[in-house]
Amino acid sequence: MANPASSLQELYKTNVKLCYPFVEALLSTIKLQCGVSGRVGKPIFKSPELEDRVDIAISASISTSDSMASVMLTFTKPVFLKLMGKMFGEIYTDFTPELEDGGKELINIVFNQAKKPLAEKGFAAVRSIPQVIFGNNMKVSYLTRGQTIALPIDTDLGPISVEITAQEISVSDSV
Amino acid sequence: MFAKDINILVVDDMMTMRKLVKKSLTELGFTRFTEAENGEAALEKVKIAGLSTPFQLIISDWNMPKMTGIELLKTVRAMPQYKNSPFVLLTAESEKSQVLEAIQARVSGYVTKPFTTQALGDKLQAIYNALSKQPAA
Repeated sequence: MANPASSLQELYKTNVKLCYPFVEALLSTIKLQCGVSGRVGKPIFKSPELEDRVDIAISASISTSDSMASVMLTFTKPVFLKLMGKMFGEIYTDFTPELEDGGKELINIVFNQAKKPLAEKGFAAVRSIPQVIFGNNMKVSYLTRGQTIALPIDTDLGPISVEITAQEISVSDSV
Repeated sequence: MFAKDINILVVDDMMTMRKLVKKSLTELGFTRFTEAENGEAALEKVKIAGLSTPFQLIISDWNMPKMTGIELLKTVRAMPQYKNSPFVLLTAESEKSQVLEAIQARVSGYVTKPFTTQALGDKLQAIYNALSKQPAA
């Protein structure tokens, strides 16, 4: 039987390996497309006591041969509206269907940029269709059962978070 | 560089991406745009434009429903008036197999997202320079 402690260690290492390609892709995308610089902070292992409340969550999941992961970009409303404003050269004061499109396009670009570095780390990943959720002070829960790692990014416009939750697929998860 | 009043067709299934492309083109000084939300709709616009007001530049996303950018490119290249006309593919993917397919379909240029206005401008300038060197038909 596998040692639970080493399994968790492997899971965290896997999470972090998955995180950084997305972080780098996000930093590159917001710099090129929005002219916004960002700096990544230290990883945070999320727990119920540390759960953040967000206004926008853009998510997609990826699956490999033996694991599933949820990737989520989270924003507060002011940061998201300013970011989209920089991207499209407009001033946004509230959520619109256009911004939902913009959010999906953002995560599409990020995912596609992260694909090659992920493959180099051994993760040949298949991506789901992205989802964009607008709300107010939302609490986020994950379908996957693994530990969530959040990488906070401090940008010129305010904070963004890249969060990844990964779990290994077991026989009981198979359809 | 291309004249600023050329007739440009912008094709992408995402409204926001069409907006982004038009924003960059506007920053580069271009003024005339028509939009289409997929390859099929773009083809309709091309047919309506006909021989009298053909598009002098087409910028298309790759992955779209109904008809992809590469399918649009191949269809348009079969039309005599678009045999050598500028056609740029925009894509979030940069895999070699895709680039090869685009080159074989005679794409004029290929821009990977995310892109800056400068990058798009440089690509259009390179296409214009290449076209200027071609002997007149």
